[in-house]
Amino acid sequence: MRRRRREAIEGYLFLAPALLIIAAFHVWPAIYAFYMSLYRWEVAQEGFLGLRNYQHLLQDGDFLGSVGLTVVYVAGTVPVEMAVGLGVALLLHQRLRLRGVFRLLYFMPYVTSQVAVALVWGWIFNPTYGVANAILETVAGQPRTWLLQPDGVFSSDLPPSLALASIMFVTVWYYLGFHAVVFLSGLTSISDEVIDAARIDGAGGLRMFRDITFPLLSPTTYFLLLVATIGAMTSFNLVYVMSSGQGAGCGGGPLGTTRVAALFVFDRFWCQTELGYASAAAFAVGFVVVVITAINNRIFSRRVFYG
Amino acid sequence: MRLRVLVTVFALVLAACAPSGPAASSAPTAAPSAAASAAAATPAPEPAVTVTFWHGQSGVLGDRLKTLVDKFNASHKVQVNASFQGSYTGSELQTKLLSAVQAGNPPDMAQLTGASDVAQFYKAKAIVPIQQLVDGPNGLTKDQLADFVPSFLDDNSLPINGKSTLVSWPLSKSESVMYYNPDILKAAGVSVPKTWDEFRAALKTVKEKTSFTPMAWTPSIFDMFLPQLYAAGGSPLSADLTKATFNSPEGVAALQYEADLVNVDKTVTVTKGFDWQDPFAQGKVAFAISTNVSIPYIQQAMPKGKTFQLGMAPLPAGAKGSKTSLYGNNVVIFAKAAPDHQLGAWIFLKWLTDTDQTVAWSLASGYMPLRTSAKNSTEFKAAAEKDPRLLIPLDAATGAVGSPKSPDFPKIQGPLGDAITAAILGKSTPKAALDDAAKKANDILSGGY
Repeated sequence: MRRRRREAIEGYLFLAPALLIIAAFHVWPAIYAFYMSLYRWEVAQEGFLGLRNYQHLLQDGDFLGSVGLTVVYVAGTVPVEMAVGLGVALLLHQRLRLRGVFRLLYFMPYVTSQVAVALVWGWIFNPTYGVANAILETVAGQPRTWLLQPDGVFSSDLPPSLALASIMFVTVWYYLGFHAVVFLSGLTSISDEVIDAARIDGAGGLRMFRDITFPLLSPTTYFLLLVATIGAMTSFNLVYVMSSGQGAGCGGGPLGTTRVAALFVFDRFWCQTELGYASAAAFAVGFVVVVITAINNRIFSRRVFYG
Repeated sequence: MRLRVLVTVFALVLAACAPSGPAASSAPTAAPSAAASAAAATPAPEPAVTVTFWHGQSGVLGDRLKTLVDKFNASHKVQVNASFQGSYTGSELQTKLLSAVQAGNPPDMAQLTGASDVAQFYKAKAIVPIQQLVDGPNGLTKDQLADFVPSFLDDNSLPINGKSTLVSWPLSKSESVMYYNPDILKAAGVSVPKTWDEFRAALKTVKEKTSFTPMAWTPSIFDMFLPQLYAAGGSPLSADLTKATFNSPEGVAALQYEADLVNVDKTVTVTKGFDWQDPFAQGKVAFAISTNVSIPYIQQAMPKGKTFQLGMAPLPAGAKGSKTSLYGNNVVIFAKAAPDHQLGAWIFLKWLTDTDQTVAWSLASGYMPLRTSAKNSTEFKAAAEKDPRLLIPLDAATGAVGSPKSPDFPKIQGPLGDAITAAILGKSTPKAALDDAAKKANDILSGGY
């Protein structure tokens, strides 16, 4: 009994550094942010509002719009980066020459600073001297204003705007390598015996992928779906840097068409100094993320095949 | 790192152990008393304290500011510990100050940007009105105060109990000016425009007679819209700061003018951030509007062997003359600082903005000197003889207006900026865009829910 207690104490001691860090930098700030969200809080704490900040969020067109844009951003990036990442992984899984070099090339964006990436792509999309317009003009297209364009890609008043679509394209480019590498590790863990058995049974190309490879990759696919969705729901760096310098507020131009939820929180917190309201928005966004994760979990977890 | 924003928010509140608030004794006070003014004759002894000063002057400017601080420290009992805490233009300094106030541990003094930001900190009782130090035993006489450029003092004053009261103190001030490429103007046969009508005509002529871009411009509320609004006799907010008035006929006319430049005349190329700067410096663009401290940045961006004499002029005039927007930063003294630290901070500010130092800082940084007497100083005269452009912003400063004094104005900037973007992109008429922004602004000004 004494030995078990000693072991438990030792275990907690080993856990203590990590627990302390989590408590100090995640749990306590979250509790304090919730406390702030119950007040009118600008540079300093003002009156107690109860849940009125949350109530106001439900009537705030800017907030609801930013959540809507986030959904568009997630829907337009996560499936694409997963599908293309899987395709790249399947290619890199072949016995190609220079396979290591290709893996490195695809993974390289992911290990580059997001701010640097966003600045470079900002230059590429510059309407006056950017490479994007130079390419477009050589193939006889009309030059575009890219990150300055609030009109929708599919319909002028519907998201995503060309500005947001450009950022979504960069997001897919950035995360593609990560998805490819994780899928690749999933592919290498599929037993050769299963593949050989399927081949002997006559399975080839598409059939092999549909009935063997893809089902056996489902734990990896599920993991990537959850991680990518949560990441995209709270996406900030690329969107913030590529949207900056457009004069209105400090996040989300043109006309707020790139103001995804994380930018809304940042703008309200740091630029509009509405600390209480921004904290409420951060909690609301967190709640939306939890709900979407739960929906993902409910729909997809049953389809995961762990072998 | 997509979670970074939430982590940032949470990390900030971690530091917030207690709501900030000044000690009762240091709560903002009203205007100067006669006794305080009388006491100005007998200065209090200089306290032997070390005062912390957070500033946002980076790189070379930071080094030059440090030189001045070192000079002060060598000759005073008060010692100033100045530290760069992130750019004030990129809002890093302000976010750090906001965090420090939440943590109840701000510096003794710091740079803040315009009057609306200062008003936010004043509303939160985080800073002391500098008026009480100006009127105190170590303050300034009426004549000394009258030497400061009036618009700079106005930019640092807030209405308190119905009286304009100095809350912050000017340090690095700049303003919107018009830049031009004289070679392009010569090729087009146009002279430097003096009114907004002449400016529009000049842009059209450049377009018709040359292959150059008449103007590259990143839309902003401060560089054209507000100066034109003021120059037409309008104002963004009502005098009591409770109602939006930027959708007045003067405001609509100002925005219509900008929209027409882009959509009707097609003389303006709309850019993002500082993207206007390179094409202008490369000699491809005739006009640009920016602050007077842009000179070195434009000149550095000029390709070797293809430089030109950069022209500068005041912003064009409207019916009420030439108006411009004030930029740069002001200094605040925090309420949490002990009284002897507040006094030490003020002694430093008073020294730093004395004629000799304001001239030295102006010549070192490109910001305007704060005192009218600076124009008569030997150093400034010599510098202005070499480069007469130094006098242009200073002369135009009589028509300079700082950001509106409402603590809510930072929240209004978003809707107002969107209105300008909507109009110049042709998504909305100027009137509809401004009316919509005014509705949002009035909701904010009324205190919301």
